[in-house]
Amino acid sequence: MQEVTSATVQGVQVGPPAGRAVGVRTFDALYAEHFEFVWRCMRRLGVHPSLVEDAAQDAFVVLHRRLSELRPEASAKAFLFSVAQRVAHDYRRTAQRKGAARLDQELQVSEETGPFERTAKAEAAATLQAFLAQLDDEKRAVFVLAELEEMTAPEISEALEVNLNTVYSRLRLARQRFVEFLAAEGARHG
Amino acid sequence: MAELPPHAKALLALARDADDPPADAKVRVQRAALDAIAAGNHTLVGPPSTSSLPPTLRARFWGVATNKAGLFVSAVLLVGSSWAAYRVLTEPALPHREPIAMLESQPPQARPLVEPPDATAASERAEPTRADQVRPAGAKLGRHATKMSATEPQDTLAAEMLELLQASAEIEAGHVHEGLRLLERYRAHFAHPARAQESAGLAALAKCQLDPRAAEAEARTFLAAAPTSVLASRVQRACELEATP
Repeated sequence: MQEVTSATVQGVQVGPPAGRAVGVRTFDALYAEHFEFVWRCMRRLGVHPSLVEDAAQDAFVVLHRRLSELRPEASAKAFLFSVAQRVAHDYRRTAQRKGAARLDQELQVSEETGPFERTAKAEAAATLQAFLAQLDDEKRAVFVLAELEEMTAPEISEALEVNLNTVYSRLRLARQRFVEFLAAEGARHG
Repeated sequence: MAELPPHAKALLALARDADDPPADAKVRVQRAALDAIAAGNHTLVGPPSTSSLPPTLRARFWGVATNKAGLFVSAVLLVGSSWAAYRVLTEPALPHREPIAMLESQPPQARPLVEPPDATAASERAEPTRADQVRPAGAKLGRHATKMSATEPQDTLAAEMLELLQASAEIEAGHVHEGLRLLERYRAHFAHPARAQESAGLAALAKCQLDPRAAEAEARTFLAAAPTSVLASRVQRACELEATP
């Protein structure tokens, strides 16, 4: 995915009403570019599927409020992730209060059985979700950004506001846990 | 840094786009977000942002913050220097000495900070244990290391799924023989496969594409064993079989 830079969006209003552009990056450009990223982050940061839509919406409302804090040279993805992380944290607490069972009832699960590939992907996603749920917040964030969003270590360092060595260290530990988790899953099923 | 093994990468590759939003969510969420912004719904999560304050208030905020920070640093310095002064006044000037009576009976001996190991302990330390001999130098014997070696099987669900997906893709693309070869490889790789049913379904599917008549028996066996499989309808179509009630 191409990064939104000041050069690509400067002076270009991507269909917003007047007054919604703040700084050199417009809300709409960032939304168009990064909506899927924010959505995926919410899911991977442990937000319940039935709350992902609300959480993504809140993240963009926060983004709108804090857009002027986004420096022109900074990575928009990193900035959005830091926003998403805080929103996700809040939503996880909401989910704990409401209870997973009630949320599962609210979630409209599609009964449609798809082709083999779709089922395989769903299974892989469920396995991944189970692994992410047992990771602590710090390692989960690094793992999600590195392995799923394929961000570079410096980008992750910026997004999480931790130093580069900490990123490498957390990633190493998270990878180790992932391999252990898959081994345990394999042993459990096979 | 150690890379992930292939089966772990395979699972991540499968899962990577599984969490993408539904097609209509983008427009819906944007509309809802803009409504919330228009309604002035700014009381969401996240720390308060000074950028949303008017310039005068912002200047005042930073003024107060700077003053408070200065006060805090002064307080820390004051407490620190008081503590240091207290330690200097209350600590004995010289290190602890043994009583004079002992000094007379024994020659003064500097007390080492770390007790030397006794002879038995020294000999135990000199002879490496069996575990040390097996373990490479510098290797850590953590909880996870033991767990890894005890339970790590080579055949995982993700690796199985990846091989089956490759076979499925070949069959779908019309490369039936290549698909069957990959299914053979799958059966050779995994002695006790967790996805034997899917493998059988794909094999029936491939063979039906080559010769529906010859593969009919195999297809019926698969459909009888797995009537609700996600491959059932594909096998029925490929083998030109009637749908099961």
